[in-house]
Parts: sequence; structure tokens; C-alpha cells
Amino acid sequence: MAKNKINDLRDHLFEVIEKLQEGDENMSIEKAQTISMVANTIINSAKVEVEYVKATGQEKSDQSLFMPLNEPKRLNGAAHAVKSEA
Amino acid sequence: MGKGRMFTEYEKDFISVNYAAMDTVTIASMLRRSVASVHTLAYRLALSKFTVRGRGSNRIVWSGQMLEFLKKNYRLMSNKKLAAALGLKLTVVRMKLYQLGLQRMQLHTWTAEEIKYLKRNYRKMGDVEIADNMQVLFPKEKKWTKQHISKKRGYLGLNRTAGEYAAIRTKNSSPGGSAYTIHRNSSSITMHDSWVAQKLAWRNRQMADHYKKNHPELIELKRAELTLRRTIKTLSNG
Repeated sequence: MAKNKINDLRDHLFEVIEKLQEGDENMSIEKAQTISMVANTIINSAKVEVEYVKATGQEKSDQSLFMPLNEPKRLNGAAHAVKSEA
Repeated sequence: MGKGRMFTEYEKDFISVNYAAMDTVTIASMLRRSVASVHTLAYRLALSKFTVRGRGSNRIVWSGQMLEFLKKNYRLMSNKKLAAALGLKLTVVRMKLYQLGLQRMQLHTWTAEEIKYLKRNYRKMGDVEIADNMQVLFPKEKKWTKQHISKKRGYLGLNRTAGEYAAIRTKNSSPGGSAYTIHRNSSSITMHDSWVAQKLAWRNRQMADHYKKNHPELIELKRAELTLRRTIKTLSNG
């Protein structure tokens, strides 16, 4: 099963930190820097997701981030609603 | 000795008035005197060719208007601008301002008591602690800072040994010490939720509150990412 939830990423980051501190041969500083940059990008995408949820007025669901959202409410006065891909 | 022709009062007045403005040869020819005699009289009368701007800055004649200008503008203009406005050298203006006591800041002179306190305590206290204590003991409007203390220590050659430094550091880092308190209260070190939320929602207080209230998992993730970045930086710097 793919590990693509927010908690999985956090665990992965801590694992990288541990490996760095222990001086693991498989974890170079360059590699860790790349992972950090990717993590930052994912966090930024999560921020956008949160802002989207807030802007569309959806209530927070039990589902964690990085999950498909429910059908958004139509915004008042908006020229068009976000169309579902289906 | 040759017979000297005495200068008349008229001649003296004439030379007094015109010595600075006119060429000495011209004056001599007009009065039918020798150039040397005119020079001699001028010397006796303490006359100079340089009445306004002398060879040295002390020869400058400051008019009341110039002094008034200095007094009015020394807080509004820099010394450079004052000098340019008066058509004088920067050093001249600087010296005159100092003479008149027109200083923009009050310099502090260390008293014997203050020096004594510093000498007595610099081995067992850090500069910050000494500055804080001195603010209580010898209050100063501008406030004592660690820079004041370290500078004076440098002047007096009051250097600490490695052991004394270590003892001061240990004292400050233990509970109750200043470094301990700073460390405990530092958001960037402890990474409080609010601080991480601010990092997430840069300069957006509303969103920062929203993250803090509704998305603790995102804050945890950001904290992990920041910790990783910090670890990388520490290891890179050796």
C-alpha cells in the first residue's frame, strides 16, 4: 500500500533525521537536502489544499490531508463552479 | 640709525582698513612709503591679510550670524552640510560646535566607582549580567549594554581565562541563569506551535490561527521538515 499520507511523510522525515545523526552510509547530506526540498513542496501543496477547503467553506472531515475532497460548494457570485472530472 | 618718518594717524587708519583687501605694494605707493615699513606697521598693529579665513582654523572670524546659524541648525543638519552652507572646512565647523558645546549626543565617562565594579566582577559575571547590574547600580538614560562593558574591558585589558569563561557559561546555562531562560523562552529553539504556524502562514495571522486550531498534523509535519533542515545545516557546518 502506498505511503502517501501526511503522517507517513512525517515519519519518513524523522527517519531521515535519525539516519543523518547516526551517520548512516545510505543517507548523504545531498540526499537529505533533496528530501527536505520535496517535503517542503508537499507541505506547500497541503497548504493550498487547506486554503481551498477554507475558501470553499467545507467543514473539516475526518480524512487526513492528501486525500480527495468532497464535492465543493458553489461559491456565491462565482462565474463557474469547479467541475468534477467525472 | 636712520631717521624714521613716523606714521600719521591717517596713515595708520588707512592701513588698518585696507591692509587685508589691498596689495601691500599699492598701499606703499599710495602713502609713499616702503613696502617693508607698511609690513612692519601692519605687524605692530596685529593686522593680517587673512582676516576671514586664516592659515589656521583659529584665524576664522565667526560673525554673530554664523554662530546663530550653527545654533539653529546643528541638530537638523550634518556637520558636512553645515560646513558647506557656511563655506568652511568640516574640521572648522566640528571644532566650533565642540567649543560651543553643541553636541548631538552626550558621551558617558566612566567613573572610578564604575571601573571598580567592573574590575571586581568581570571574572565571575558575563558582560550582559554586568550591564544589567550596572543599570541598577549606576542608572544611565542611554542604558548599559554588553557592548559598553566589553569595550571597556578591552581598553583596560581585563581579559578572562578559558576557565573563567566556562564557569560563567555553566552558571548562565543552569536554571535561573540568563542563557537558560532565553533558551527556554526562545520560540525558534523550542519550535512552539504558534511559531511553526507563523512559518507556515507567512505574515498571515488569520491563516496561522487556522492552522494551529484545525491542522495540528500539518504543524507537526512542518516541524519535522524544519528539524530536518536544521540537522542538515548543523552537519554541513561541521
